[in-house]
Amino acid sequence: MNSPPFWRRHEFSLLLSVMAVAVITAVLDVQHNYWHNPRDTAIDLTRQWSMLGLYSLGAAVVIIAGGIDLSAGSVIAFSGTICATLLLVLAPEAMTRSEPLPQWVIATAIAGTMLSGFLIGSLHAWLITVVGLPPFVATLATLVGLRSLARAICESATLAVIGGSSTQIGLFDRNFRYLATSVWIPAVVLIVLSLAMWLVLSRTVLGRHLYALGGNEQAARLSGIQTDRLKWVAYCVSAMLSSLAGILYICEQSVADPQTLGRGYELNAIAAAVVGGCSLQGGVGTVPGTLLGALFLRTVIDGVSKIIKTGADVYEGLIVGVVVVFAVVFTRGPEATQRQRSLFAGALGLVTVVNLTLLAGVLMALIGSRLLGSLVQMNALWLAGFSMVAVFALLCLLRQPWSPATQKRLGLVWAALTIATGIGVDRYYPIAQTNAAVSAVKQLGGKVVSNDAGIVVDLNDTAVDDAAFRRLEPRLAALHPLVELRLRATKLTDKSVDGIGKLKKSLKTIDIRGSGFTPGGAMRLRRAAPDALVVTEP
Amino acid sequence: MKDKDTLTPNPSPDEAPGEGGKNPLIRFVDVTKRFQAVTALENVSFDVRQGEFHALCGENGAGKSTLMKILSGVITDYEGRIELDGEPLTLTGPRDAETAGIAIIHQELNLVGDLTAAANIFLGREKRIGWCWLDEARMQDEARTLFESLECQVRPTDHVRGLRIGDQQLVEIAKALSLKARIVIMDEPTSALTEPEVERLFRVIARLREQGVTLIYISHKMNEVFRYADRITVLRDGRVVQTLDRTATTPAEITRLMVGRDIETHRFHSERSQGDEVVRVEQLSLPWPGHARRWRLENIDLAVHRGEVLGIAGLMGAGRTELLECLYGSSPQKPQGRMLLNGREVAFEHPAAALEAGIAMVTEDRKRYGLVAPMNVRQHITLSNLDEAVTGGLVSASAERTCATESITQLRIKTAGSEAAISSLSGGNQQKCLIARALRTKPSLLLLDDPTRGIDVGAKAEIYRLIDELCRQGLAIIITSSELPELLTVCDRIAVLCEGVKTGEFVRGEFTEAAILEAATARFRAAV
Repeated sequence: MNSPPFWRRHEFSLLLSVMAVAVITAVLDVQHNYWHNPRDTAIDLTRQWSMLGLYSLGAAVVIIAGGIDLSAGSVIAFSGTICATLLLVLAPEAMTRSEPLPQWVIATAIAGTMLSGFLIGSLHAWLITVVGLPPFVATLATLVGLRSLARAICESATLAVIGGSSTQIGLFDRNFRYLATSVWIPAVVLIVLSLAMWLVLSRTVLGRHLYALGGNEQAARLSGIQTDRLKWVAYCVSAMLSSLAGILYICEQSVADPQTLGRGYELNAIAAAVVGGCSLQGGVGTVPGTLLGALFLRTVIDGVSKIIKTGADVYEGLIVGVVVVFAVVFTRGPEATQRQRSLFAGALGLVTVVNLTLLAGVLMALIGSRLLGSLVQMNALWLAGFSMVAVFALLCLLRQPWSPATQKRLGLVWAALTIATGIGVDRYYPIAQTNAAVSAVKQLGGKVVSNDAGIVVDLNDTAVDDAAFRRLEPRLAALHPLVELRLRATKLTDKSVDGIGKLKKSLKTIDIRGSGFTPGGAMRLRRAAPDALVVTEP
Repeated sequence: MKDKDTLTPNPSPDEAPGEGGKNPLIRFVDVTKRFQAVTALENVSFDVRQGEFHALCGENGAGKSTLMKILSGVITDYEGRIELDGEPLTLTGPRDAETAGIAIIHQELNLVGDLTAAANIFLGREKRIGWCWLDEARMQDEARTLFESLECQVRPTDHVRGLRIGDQQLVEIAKALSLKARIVIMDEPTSALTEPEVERLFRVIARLREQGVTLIYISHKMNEVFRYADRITVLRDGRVVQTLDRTATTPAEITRLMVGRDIETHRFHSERSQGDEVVRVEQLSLPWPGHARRWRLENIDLAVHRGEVLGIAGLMGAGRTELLECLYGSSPQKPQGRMLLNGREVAFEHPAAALEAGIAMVTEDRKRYGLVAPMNVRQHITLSNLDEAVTGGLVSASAERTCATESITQLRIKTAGSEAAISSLSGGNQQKCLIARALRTKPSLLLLDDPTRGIDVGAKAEIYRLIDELCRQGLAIIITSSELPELLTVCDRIAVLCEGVKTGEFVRGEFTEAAILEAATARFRAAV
């Protein structure tokens, strides 16, 4: 709790990391969204950050107080549903006819939702301090239970009010939705609440007692601190912030769907708090750190989705997992890192080497060609294979009990070798592919010849049929430039039209005389390969 | 060893470790261990010979237990080396030590309370039928044989939690025997034993020696050491002061070597005047659900006055801590009986209520019940009464620092400043911070639970002086201690507990070590 200079604090390194991620994204993103469209990306990022930040702060307060709140995701879903249900019950006509809602209805619904958050927090506190459940179990129970309760409420409410049971409640009122469609309201809410919480945690007796509770519960109680009351406060703050986030989420999505709303968000919240410097042992953590942790998580998720051009949600979990592991490894105390054991020693180390090798291969196969597509010729499979060999070599190197100096030197050798062989393999890739194509053609009894215009694949008078051609077709892509395809007197039929159509545009002549093509098939072939001359019987 | 920097008055003539008549079994060479800032052991070198009874003496914090943790594989990262039979010994864990034939009987016994005696003896080395089935019968048979050889009444099927401390210790010894240990380390084994149990322990030790077992025996009880030891090694502040033959030295010399100087024995208690009664308890009882004894404390009457130091004596498990917890409102169950504070009946549900009423407590086991590791010195001192630094709802940083600095000066806490990390302080100064925390609530009764445990001699004297000072200012103090001489030094009156019952009360002038010990074991005598 000493205050080191700002540039040595965790918050500062997080800030630098956020900027670094933003710069990398701006450069690697092919469309350069951060550069060309700064306003939209900033608004989007801020909105997502504001909502994640809100319930991350809740998670942080509980973690600082030495507990854990696993229920955030379900509390978000439950609160969103409660809010929508209250709107539905208070103004059924307006809701079903998509008319504007009266102000008092919106205000009452929000107040009711916050009250439900308070009640959920109190339930947690009761289960933990009076019944004596571990926080993990108590909040796990509500994590599972509240979502199911929300779905039941949603179905009953829609059945009662609209007359037909539905698993979600739509929200169309523009004033209400403005709460989240305008980026200002979530942002201001977050700023005001964080300032308040920062003041409470760092400058009040209550805050100090929360830190003491998390640092050593026994010592805090024996110092005359009402630990049970503090836990009540902490769990209520957490649940109410999640409720607030729940309201904002249904505004943003314009629908309250208890099945999908906030699923898995509890772990994002805990991850943001941990990345932000909160210790799961309790007693350590700050509001600015948590906010920056949430921002860091959002920028990484946003960056990866922009760079590899997939929906953010596909890789979100993977990113959160990796970020949390690294953040905790790099921010833990010196005692933990002092252990002298090699990371990959023993039987578990061996399995881990295989594990990480496979992981590298899978990741490379999935996103490698998207990341490096413009730089390399290899396809995903080759990339995966190559990176697996490289990673395996590196990990085996690290497994050896050599001195750090030796390992550093060998590491450099490894890096040089990897780059060199990488370039070599990449150069060799087209040659290998060509050879594979040639031998495949030869296997079918045909031959590959080249003339002045390019490459000719000669399958005349062979027994090649549709199935064999389907297997051969992807390989032919490696022959460049393919100008002529001779299929005279083969068993090919109209089924192969699409396959031939997939071949390169460089194809100038296709000879199908005496094969199984019908005149109609020949017509379709001409349409599929418009640049080529299809030779048929006169 | 490095004698020039010690204050040893007469260097012993046979100071020639390793070159004795018998061959050395274990040799420590320049063993050094640092815990962050604290150096627990520094260049420790001495030999233990084959088959000898080697006593290791030293004050609390001298490094005895740390050294033995290294020898038993509990601590594996240290500098220097250890040789066994002339071969370098490298241990990666307690299992290695067991394989090497080294067994340790820890001061805090290392047993799993919910398992049976037999299961504890074979923990981690269970007898099996085939690949995975436990062979309970064989384990119990072997355990029974072991217990018979130790002439004790423990049944292999008894759950360890229900055994007396002395019997639990025998379970540990049986475990060491079952390991066929060549070297047995005993860390203050008699601190919780009654007289007959001590005698039985030494009969067991004699039998072990007949079998050729080498014993390393940690103790600061001179009578035991001088009755049985062949050689004595004295440690002080993590260094070896000297290794001596028992026949060539005297208890007085060993004590002097342990302490390093003559301790000034202040007459703290003189000229202190007692005032009105602060607290009186009548028929105080604390239930113990689910235990054969039923009561942790039973029908205790006590009173303490302004300007008086009341000591609570008793062996481990006698209920000293529980008694203080009852007064402070932090006992696990609700105590029964009456408690009067300044003549008014009170009952505290929570320490907060006790503090409000003017009772403060410094708990035993600083690390578990006192310190909040991530906090600094200032935050430790102000924790119990942070309200005094609040202006307008917010904690004023400057007011808080003023409070902390005031306490640091008042208690002469040695720290780099109010913002220093608590872990950078020595044990004694950490303890003073906790006393400062209690004092900042301006109590009329201060409860000190074993306040000098694990702190060095100098700091102990400081704490004694502080207790005296506070007492003269009119504070009532109740203190417990695991060391009887300490209570004899600081107290005006001593109440003795045995198994939760008050078995004696002595005022200064009446009390002697023998009388108190007799009261402390009164109920065992009836039982054994």
